[in-house]
Amino acid sequence: MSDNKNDKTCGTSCGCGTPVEGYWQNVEDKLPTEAKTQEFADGEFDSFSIKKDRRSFLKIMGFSVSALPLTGCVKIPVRKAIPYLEKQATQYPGVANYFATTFKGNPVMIKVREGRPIKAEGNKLSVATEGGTDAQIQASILDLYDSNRLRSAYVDGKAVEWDEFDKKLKSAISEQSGKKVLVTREVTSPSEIKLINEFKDSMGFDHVVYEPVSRYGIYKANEKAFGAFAPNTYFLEDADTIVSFGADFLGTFGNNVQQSADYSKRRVPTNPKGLNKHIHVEALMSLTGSNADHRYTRSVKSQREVLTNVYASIAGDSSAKAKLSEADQKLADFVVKELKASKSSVLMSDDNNVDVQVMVAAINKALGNYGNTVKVVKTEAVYANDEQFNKLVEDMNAGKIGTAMFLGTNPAYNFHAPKTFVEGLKKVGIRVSFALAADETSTLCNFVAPDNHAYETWSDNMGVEGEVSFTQPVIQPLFGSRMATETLMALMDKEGSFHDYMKANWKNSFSPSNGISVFENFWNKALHDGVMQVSSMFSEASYGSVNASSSAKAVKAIKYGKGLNVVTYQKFAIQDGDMANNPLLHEMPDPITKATWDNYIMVSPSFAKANNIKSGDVVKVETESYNVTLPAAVIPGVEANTVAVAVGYGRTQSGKVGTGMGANAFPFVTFANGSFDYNTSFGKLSKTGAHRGLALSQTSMSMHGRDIVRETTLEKFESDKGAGNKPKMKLPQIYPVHHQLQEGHQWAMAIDLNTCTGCSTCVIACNTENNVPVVGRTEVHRRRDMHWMRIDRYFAGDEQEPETVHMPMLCQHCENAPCENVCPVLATVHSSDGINQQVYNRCIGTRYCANNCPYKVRRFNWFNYDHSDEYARLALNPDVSIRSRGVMEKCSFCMQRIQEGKLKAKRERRELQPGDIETACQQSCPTNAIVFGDMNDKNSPIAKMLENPRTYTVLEELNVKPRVNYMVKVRNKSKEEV
Amino acid sequence: MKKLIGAFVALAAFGALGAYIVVQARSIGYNQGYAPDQPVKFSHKLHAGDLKMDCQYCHFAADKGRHAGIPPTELCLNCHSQVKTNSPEIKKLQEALDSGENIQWNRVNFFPDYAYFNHAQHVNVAQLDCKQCHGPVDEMEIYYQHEKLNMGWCINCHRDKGIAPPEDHKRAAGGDCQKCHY
Repeated sequence: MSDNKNDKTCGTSCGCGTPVEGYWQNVEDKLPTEAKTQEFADGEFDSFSIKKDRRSFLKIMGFSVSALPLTGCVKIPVRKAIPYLEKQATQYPGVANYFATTFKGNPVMIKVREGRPIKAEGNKLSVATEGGTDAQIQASILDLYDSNRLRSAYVDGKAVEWDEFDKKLKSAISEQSGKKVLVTREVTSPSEIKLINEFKDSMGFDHVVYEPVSRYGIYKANEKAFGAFAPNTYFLEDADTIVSFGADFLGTFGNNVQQSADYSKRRVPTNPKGLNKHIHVEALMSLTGSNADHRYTRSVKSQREVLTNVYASIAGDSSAKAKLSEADQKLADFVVKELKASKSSVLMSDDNNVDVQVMVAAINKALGNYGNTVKVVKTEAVYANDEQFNKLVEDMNAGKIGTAMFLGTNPAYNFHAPKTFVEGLKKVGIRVSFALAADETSTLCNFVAPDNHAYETWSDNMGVEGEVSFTQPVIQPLFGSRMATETLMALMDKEGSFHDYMKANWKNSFSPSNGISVFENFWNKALHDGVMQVSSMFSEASYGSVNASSSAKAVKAIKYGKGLNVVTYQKFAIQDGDMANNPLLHEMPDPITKATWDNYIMVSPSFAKANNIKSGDVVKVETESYNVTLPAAVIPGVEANTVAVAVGYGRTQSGKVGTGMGANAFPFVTFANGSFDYNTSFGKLSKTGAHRGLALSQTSMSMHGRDIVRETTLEKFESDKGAGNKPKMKLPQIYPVHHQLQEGHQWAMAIDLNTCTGCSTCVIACNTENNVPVVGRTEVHRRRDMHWMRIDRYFAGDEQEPETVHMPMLCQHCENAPCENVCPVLATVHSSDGINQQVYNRCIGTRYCANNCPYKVRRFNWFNYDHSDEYARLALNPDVSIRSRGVMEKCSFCMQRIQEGKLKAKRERRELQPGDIETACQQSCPTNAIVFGDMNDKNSPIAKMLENPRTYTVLEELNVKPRVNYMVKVRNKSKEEV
Repeated sequence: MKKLIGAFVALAAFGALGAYIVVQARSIGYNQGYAPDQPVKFSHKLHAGDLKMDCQYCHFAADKGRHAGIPPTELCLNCHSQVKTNSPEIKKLQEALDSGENIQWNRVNFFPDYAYFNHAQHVNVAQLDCKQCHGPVDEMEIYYQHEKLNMGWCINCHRDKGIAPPEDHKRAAGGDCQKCHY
């Protein structure tokens, strides 16, 4: 969909485009230092210019030759070796330690080398995530080392010591009149909740919970129906049919890692419970929608209408039934039929309207889903309350609030009416922010008490499926920050650390169980494993009664504006923008649009055609109260009268990377019917005439008639396990197969296209594992992105309601690798265990290999990408060398992990077992779509997968014999569709 | 005749000089024999030779991971809190511990970043004697780099031991580039 043909180019055939005037062009201005590029300095090569005469040439040559022996006279550089002063009990130089902790509610393991965290991995002991992660977890390490973080506490803009800060804040609070409020995000930590409650009582504070992207509609509906102000927990492994109205449950809705893990188990067609059926109705193409068996594009209004009729049929409330358009009625009938025919099902919606969620609850109740595929679980956790927060902003403007503390929240950026909030905040006497780095809210606060990063923090977390996970610091606080909980304790004059508080808390509730009779043993096990089943903290609520009928009427009575429907959504990487200063997340191609570094206005192909808009045309979207000017992205699967803008961008205070990136879409959110509504702004779109090409990682949308992705339907699969696949080709072989490629370990990979959701978590995992540089918007726009792994996305079928496939593409490690034949310096050669090796020190940068690669997976270092940021460089993996300018690089099958696994087995004097070696992409995958191993080990999962009739290799006809295999996608389509 | 001898001598001298230059040039950058002064006058000869201490008492990480490691200062004081406590060299250790500013040793053996070497592989798995690569450490008053530590030196040994490539991949440490360079 990209259209860069209109761009001016630099004059060479490199395919680059010149940015439009008025936009930043200089990569250094916009990029983090990690990605700072060293462009040729002016005149750097003048002295070697071929325009010089013969004499100068000889002079230079003569100097070079005579200077050569002089290099021998250079003194040996003195390198220092500094040992530890004291022996670290568990630490050996060069050996990684793993510590269990929690990031954003997901249990993770942090790999620590010589005391510094370098990589986040999933925790396999977690029954919820089962070792899966998401993109933000993978990128989180870089946030820890963000040199933009605050270095000390501040009072009125002046750096102060913590003692002085406490004294000043305490006296200021006691002198200040008016109400006192603590605003936090949702708190799922039992110890933090206990502390906050004590803080409320002893200090006289109110506690308001605010989420920029809130699920208040669900909580409130559950409060009405279940008497529990709590979220839904989904158990998708048990659901035969999943119907989602806009809920991006694999990406940004709910516990995405747990949901992805459960969902994917039922995407394996050989699962004894059968393949699930996923029906998705949405207004824009989401990550989850792209994975659906049946996906329908409907506006937010028609989604609500269809849902109302589905409710009417399933709950038997004929009064709610309304007359719909023919297409919508067909869709409602189809959904009802599928739900009724299915033994177990679940229906979900991301609509934040309480009445819509009441209907959803009534449907799930009528289908008997509660207790099976969806549960409402009561805990002590506190959840977002839109009404309370909106009231707070009103009170602030009315001058009723004397003290306001913002813990983890940044409403000056992400409240729907930022101006109103900022005006109100000015009337508050004591304004306290706990921001890690200066943000829009903290810059307006007179007290700033920087919180620790999650990896420097003690905490605990009530997850899902009865699991509690623990957060423990994996590094001493890098900057002068302090845990927010300890700041609260200091204000309450509470002695001790939060660790002691939390431990005492657990000790109080400890009772011997599971064979653990001593508390210390429990505590050590909890911190070692990171997760523990504590079912006593969770109790399932039961459905009482709720008047869904009146909710249906209320939904029908909702008035909509006129014009173009402007909806907001979250991108999988940036989400609500709290990690907007993370370059890895910005450069991750969006799973659907494949765009990096920007937000944009998603429009449908039909709208684009009617208004003559091309991708990259800068357009202005305006509603009565707000407007943004951004490039358009023409994306199939967007509803014709809908435009979508991602939130999380347009930060004005977010460090070097995030500041000024894109435009803020939060002001398009409205407060309607008692909750934040993310989807019902209306306005118009106008062209500005400017053009700004999107920095896309994939510009060709076509497979050019080749069966690169193979797929079939469940119906065909049931009669033929190899349906959709083709028999292996018998290709001529001139040379005998080298015996080396048959003996010993032979590494291979298989990727199941059925379980791969395209989320791109693996891309970030690969980046952090292999020190892949971030190159910035301009370079991505020039097609010089460096990702070793990419996810190709193809659309098929109708433009309005397309089918989507995602295909991870990485070095295929071909046995007959075409790149190897063309390298003039043998910099890419084959190893005896079947790996296509890239030898950086031999590479002279001819780029012949990249040209000859049919899969286009080789990446060239156009620059020396800067790694000089003294903090960010701590995140580098010391086992992988940094590539310099002029060198080709690509996927190595995580050679360092293979070597580590082999060595570990050897040290333990045993054979290598399947599972000893996991590549970074495989480890990070929340759906276990990637399997890697020794194909010569006949008992290994990889060997079994290679014999699966669904397995094939891409571009088999080229006879390059890839070692990366793919498995045919099987869609569970109904015979009759809408 | 004299002229001829003179020319011959000149030629021989020139040849010898050339040979010398070539030999010397080939060792540039390998630092063989590099023996820098250390901030603490520690004698390997005394500890490893005369006292016959086990190498891995101090270099305890050698069989665990990549680096053999330089012992933590605290470890020296396991003995030296009792032994020779009045020596000015030993006092440096106590000072370092008290002040928190550690001794900065001069690194002798050095591998570049792009070459992966693992001590545990050689010490633990292959059960090699430390001396094989580090030379007669028990005779070194001042520790020096005994071998060239260049790639040819690695490969030669692997080839001589029959564990080299490409014939015998089962025992690994073969000649595949990415065994060491990644």
